[in-house]
Amino acid sequence: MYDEPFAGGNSLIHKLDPRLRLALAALSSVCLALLSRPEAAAGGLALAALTAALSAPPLAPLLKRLILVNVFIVFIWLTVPPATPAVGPADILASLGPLDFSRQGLIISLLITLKTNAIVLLLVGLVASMNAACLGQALERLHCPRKLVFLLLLTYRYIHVAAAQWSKLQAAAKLRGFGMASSLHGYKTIGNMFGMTFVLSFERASRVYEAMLLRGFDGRFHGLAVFRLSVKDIAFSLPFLLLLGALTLFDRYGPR
Amino acid sequence: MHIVEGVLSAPVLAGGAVAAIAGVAVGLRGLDQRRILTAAILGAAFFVISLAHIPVGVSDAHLMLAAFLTLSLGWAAWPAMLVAMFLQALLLQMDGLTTLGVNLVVTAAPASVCAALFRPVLAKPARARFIGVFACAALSVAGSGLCTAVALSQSNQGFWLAARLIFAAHLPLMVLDGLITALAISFIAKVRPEIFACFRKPALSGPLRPTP
Repeated sequence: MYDEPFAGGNSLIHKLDPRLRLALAALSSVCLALLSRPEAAAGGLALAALTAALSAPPLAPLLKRLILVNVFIVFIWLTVPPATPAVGPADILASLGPLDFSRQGLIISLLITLKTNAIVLLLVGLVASMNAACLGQALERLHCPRKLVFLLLLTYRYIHVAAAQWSKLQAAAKLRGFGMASSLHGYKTIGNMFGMTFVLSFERASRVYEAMLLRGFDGRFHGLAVFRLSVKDIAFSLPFLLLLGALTLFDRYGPR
Repeated sequence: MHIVEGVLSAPVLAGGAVAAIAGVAVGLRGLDQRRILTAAILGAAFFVISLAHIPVGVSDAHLMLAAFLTLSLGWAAWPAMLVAMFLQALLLQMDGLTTLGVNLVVTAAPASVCAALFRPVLAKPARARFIGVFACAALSVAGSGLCTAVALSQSNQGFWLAARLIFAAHLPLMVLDGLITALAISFIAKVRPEIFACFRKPALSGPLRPTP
């Protein structure tokens, strides 16, 4: 259902220390999100694409993700150029009734498109390449609050439980001739199914929790993975950080 | 509606992150181990149901369900939603790491305010509770739409049109989200009223009684 298509690989990126990947992803997302020039953002996109390519993601799910993100980008392209005021009359590229399509608006749309895709590709490469259990452990080693990590791991587990219950109820409703329709009866059924999903998931999770307590669970998951920084980590992160730093400097101080 | 990466400006992102950290810290303080279980299940339900397509006329929409979480969990809804959104970013790349704070605040803050105002209706008889929960969920969706629009228009002056369209898109969602949340809470109160007993810590949430 939510089967982490990028987590299973065996590439260079997958062999890096998860803590390092997480830290690099957070740092580079912030750096990329703050870029203000399309040239720098294009460089960021290249860096991100390279990182994603190094993690050798399966193409079909990757394309699906990118299309999903770019739906919002299409919306930006449709709304921002006519809404951004032009600086001078030469900057008006086209007029449609009262709406002027300005050069500035197009530049902003282009910048957003580059940045958004760059950050998504980075996330696919660096973060989506680990599974949720590994992510939880990495977060704990990075001194994330323990309760939050516990909540993350439990939620991840229950997502699959809740999704299974939800699709079971949907199948049952379909067998009884229910088609999702926008009528009061339809919404009533959906509301009840939602309530039932919660009730069933809750009962199942309570049973599991009691079983865990019986087996001596004390609120901590003991991971077996050992995280160690190796030569590979340094060999990857040094050029990555240098390129990222160069992009940020170019964005700030580069020649116009 | 989640705002994607790369759209918002630095002050908006930073403000969202600070407010989100504060809310999550308050929420975590009130969570003990047993209640983490409930928060995790509600977060998982939030994750799954908010991805389902609910038909509206010829089109379809996603539910927000923020009020459902804040009504039942109180402040603990903040970490629950944070985790659900983080997993959506991880598993589906729906939104990213930098926008996590802003997206959490625009979803959870209006819902928390509405839940604080409307929590007493949970103890009322069925009809009053239904109307109260409906109003609570509908208002929190409108609040989210408003906050999203403000976050966008504060980031760049060219976003005003996008911001208005997004706010307008939240208006039909108000009715849908209100209806489904009210129906689901009525259903749970009817079928398993005792589930909400574990929410019955005075500081976090009021009791939800079965219909007489």
